Amino acid sequence: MSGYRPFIGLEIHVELKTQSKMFCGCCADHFHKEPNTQTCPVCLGLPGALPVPNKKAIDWTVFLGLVLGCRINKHSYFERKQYFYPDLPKGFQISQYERPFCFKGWFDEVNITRVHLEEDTGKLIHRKIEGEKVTLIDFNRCGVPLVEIVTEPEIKSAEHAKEWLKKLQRVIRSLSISDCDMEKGSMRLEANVSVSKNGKLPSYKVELKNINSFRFVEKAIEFEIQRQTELFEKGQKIEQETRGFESDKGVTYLQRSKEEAFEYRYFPEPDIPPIVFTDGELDKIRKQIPELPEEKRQRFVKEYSLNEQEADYFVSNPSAAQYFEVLYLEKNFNLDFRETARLIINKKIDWENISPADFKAEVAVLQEGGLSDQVELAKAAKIVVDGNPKAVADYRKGKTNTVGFLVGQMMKKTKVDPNLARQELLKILE
Amino acid sequence: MKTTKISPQKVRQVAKLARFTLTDNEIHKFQGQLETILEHFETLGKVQVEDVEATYQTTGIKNACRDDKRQHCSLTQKEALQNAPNTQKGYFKVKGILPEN
Amino acid sequence: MDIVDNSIRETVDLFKKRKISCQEIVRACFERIEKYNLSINAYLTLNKEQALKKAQDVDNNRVKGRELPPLAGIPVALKDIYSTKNLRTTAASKIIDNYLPAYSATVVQKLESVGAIIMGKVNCDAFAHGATGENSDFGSVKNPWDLEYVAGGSSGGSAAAVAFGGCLMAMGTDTGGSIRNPASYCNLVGLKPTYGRVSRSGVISMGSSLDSMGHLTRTVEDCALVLSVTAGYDPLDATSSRKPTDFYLQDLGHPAIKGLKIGLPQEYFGRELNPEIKTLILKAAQQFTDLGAEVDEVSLPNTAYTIPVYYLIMSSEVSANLARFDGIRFGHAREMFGEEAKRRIMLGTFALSAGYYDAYYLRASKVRTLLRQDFEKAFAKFDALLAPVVPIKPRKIGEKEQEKLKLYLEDYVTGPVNLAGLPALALPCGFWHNIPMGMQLIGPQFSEKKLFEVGQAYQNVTDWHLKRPPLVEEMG
Repeated sequence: MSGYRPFIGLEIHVELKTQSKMFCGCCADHFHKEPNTQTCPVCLGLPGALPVPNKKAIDWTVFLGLVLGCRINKHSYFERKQYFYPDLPKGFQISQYERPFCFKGWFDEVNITRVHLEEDTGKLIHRKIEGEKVTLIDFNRCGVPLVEIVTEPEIKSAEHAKEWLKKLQRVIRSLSISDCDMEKGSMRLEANVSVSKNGKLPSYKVELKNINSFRFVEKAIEFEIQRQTELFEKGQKIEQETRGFESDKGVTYLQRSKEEAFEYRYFPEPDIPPIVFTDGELDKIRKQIPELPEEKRQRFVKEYSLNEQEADYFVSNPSAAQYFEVLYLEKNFNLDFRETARLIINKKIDWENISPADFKAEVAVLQEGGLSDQVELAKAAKIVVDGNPKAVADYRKGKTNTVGFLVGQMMKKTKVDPNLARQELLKILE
Repeated sequence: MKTTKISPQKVRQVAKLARFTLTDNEIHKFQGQLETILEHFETLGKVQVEDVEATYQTTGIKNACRDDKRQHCSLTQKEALQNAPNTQKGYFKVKGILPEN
Repeated sequence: MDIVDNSIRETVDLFKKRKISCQEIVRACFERIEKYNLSINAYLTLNKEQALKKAQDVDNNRVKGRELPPLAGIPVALKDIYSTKNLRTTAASKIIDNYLPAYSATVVQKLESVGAIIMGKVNCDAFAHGATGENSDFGSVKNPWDLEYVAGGSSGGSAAAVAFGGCLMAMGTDTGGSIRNPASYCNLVGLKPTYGRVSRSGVISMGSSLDSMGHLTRTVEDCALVLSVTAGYDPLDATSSRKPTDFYLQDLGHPAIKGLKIGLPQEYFGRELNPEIKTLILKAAQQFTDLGAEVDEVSLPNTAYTIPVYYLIMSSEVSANLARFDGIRFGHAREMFGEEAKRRIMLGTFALSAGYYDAYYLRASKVRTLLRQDFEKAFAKFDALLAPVVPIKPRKIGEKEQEKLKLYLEDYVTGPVNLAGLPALALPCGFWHNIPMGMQLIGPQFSEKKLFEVGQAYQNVTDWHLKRPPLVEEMG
């Protein structure tokens, strides 16, 4: 468009789903809790309270960094990022600056500048009470571990940003370190946008904040590229600034100009000694890296001759994928891969509640047609119910899964379609 | 090493970063005091510090971390709010600010 | 001598022999407080009801023949920067004059768990910023030895409270000399432990990499007893050491001084040192020689940089540590900070700001390494160093205010110890006219046990520490 090339960099914050907060033992699960019921002197910033770092949060940060192809700083430390804001009780955030845990990574064709660890702030709610504008503060979220991922300004377009972020989200979720959910706030984004005519990275960048969905990322960036291009074409200059995104109108608006920018005065956190990793520790973490979504998808397509959608289903549903693969571990199951996949995906067999062995049995019955006469079915069902009092008692107690076991029992005795068997059993049990 | 002259503008900027509202008199007073103090620190500029590592910690401790366990050290909501000048139904309350993030 | 003039050890003996009860000593201390606190201004908040109740519990347990913990029934004062659950904690500053902590500092919990009786919170320079006790927003602390003089600082209230018999020991903090200085002014033993030896959790931070949690007592033996209680790793403090604590009282009965190498840092004995004070310290050095130690000169070549290094690092840390006082969760608006606090915050903010960080904070942190190395080299040859604590003639109330430079240049003899994280023990060693004068023994990290031995040896052949102030009620 008119010769202006966009330079887009992304800053992603990911809430780690640790048990406790980053620097204290408070519960880190803050969603939908009564305000200020999960705080302690440390995360409330009371005088005298000291931070003690959460080892798991550090390990998970390094873990994520390795997955994103980063190098690890074997000597690292936390720093104080100082600024005043009501959601920041200490008047500084413990973060990283000079020596982040991870740096110089690479994910899906984009360079990653750094991956570091910091603590989350409290939550602000803006309200009008009796005609007066007030801001209410809840510190339950304050201190929850937050990983910050920063990319180089190599994202090529608004659409590219959206697609790249979706892939990143999928990977992070597959590691089970975060729910990475934009709606719940466990994944937050900022985009840095600038444009230039000569193909060189400009000296300014505009930070876009308040973007809380993938759709809005695309819209906000598109709008901003357009806005900046228009300003340049009018001969105007653009300076460093921070802008928010107004999702209703689809526009960005000025929040902070260059003059109002925070000056953070970073210095090493004196209350927390440095963190040092040995090669052994890093290897141990490296070994825990699971098969990543993209790898898995390709493998399922190749090994099991599935199509893309089927492979995607198994990537998004790890327990289904595991079940599927267990079925083929032994050699006595010859069903076509794709047929099995369909049975699982369409839930034709209640795989979640029966063992792989019983699954195989049900498949065998399905293939051979099986018992369908109503009276015979009812008889067979009654025999099974009478012969398994414990399972029936369990079912009546509320363990509805046991019906699966009973279906299996029926199928051991006779060939029957599992769904029909279930229906009969339920008639008796209810 | 920088000159020990500090402009009133710089003092204002520092005061803003420190979240202080200073009168013109106070700006002037701090300007004089800071300049005197910093003049005293000029000798620091003469020390040879090439190849000297900074000391941020004297203990030599590394990796002082804790396990990811929930502790029962939390405050009740009442305790958390007990010193706050303004609260509202379990929240801390301040004058309305422009929403940022 | 009044029972409140005894040491902790003597008091525990009297308890054991049933010569006095805990309630008696606690009441006697409160009587002293009633009589003298108005003029000395040591205590800011009293914990009378709780103290008497606890004293009664201790006495009941004693009557029942129960085994009592080491500090059972001993009256203790706490510098008002130690958080005490539901007992007002002000840091001697108007900005939190109504603050009720919802938790107690680890050290406070430790003291309470061994039976100590918290008498109340004592005055200090606001937020520990000062060396005379005059920077309190609640009035200066006066020296019980002579009300016209300062009690030292910043733990002036802690020292004065012990000196006038308002308690038998007091907790203080030492960031640049703030326990040793008032110990000297009030004729007490003051310990600044190795950084990380005693937990900082719950104590309002001043200079995070410099603050040491120490205490003031009448004798070296008392001092060792208290450290046995307060020292040790705390999971709530990531800078606290896991190194096991020593049996600090173990060898006090037979301190081994013969052959001990004691160094006198020549830079501390230069022109700036008051000649009368120099005489007292050198006299003490001679006494150590008489006891069998080998005393010699040593150089700490980077001493001259102490003041800029200390002030830049301390102010930078202070400026960040005091940022949490925003009036939202506790306290009043930031305008309520006193002048000294504001000045240090401004200096620290400046030192960390863009364009100045490298020249000030970073450079100071590098020179700090040089200061540490000075001590490392000295301790390769010496077991301990002997030095003055207050190198200038004692200050009268109001004197500091008249000075143009707002720095405490006398910090050059105490500050280096904090920059290097070392332990130091201040001991009474004489009088400058009618004002007590102290000296300090500095040791390598975690050498408190040795320092106590050397101090005990000194107190075995001197009686400075047995003198008590001529208390007068201020007229009018």
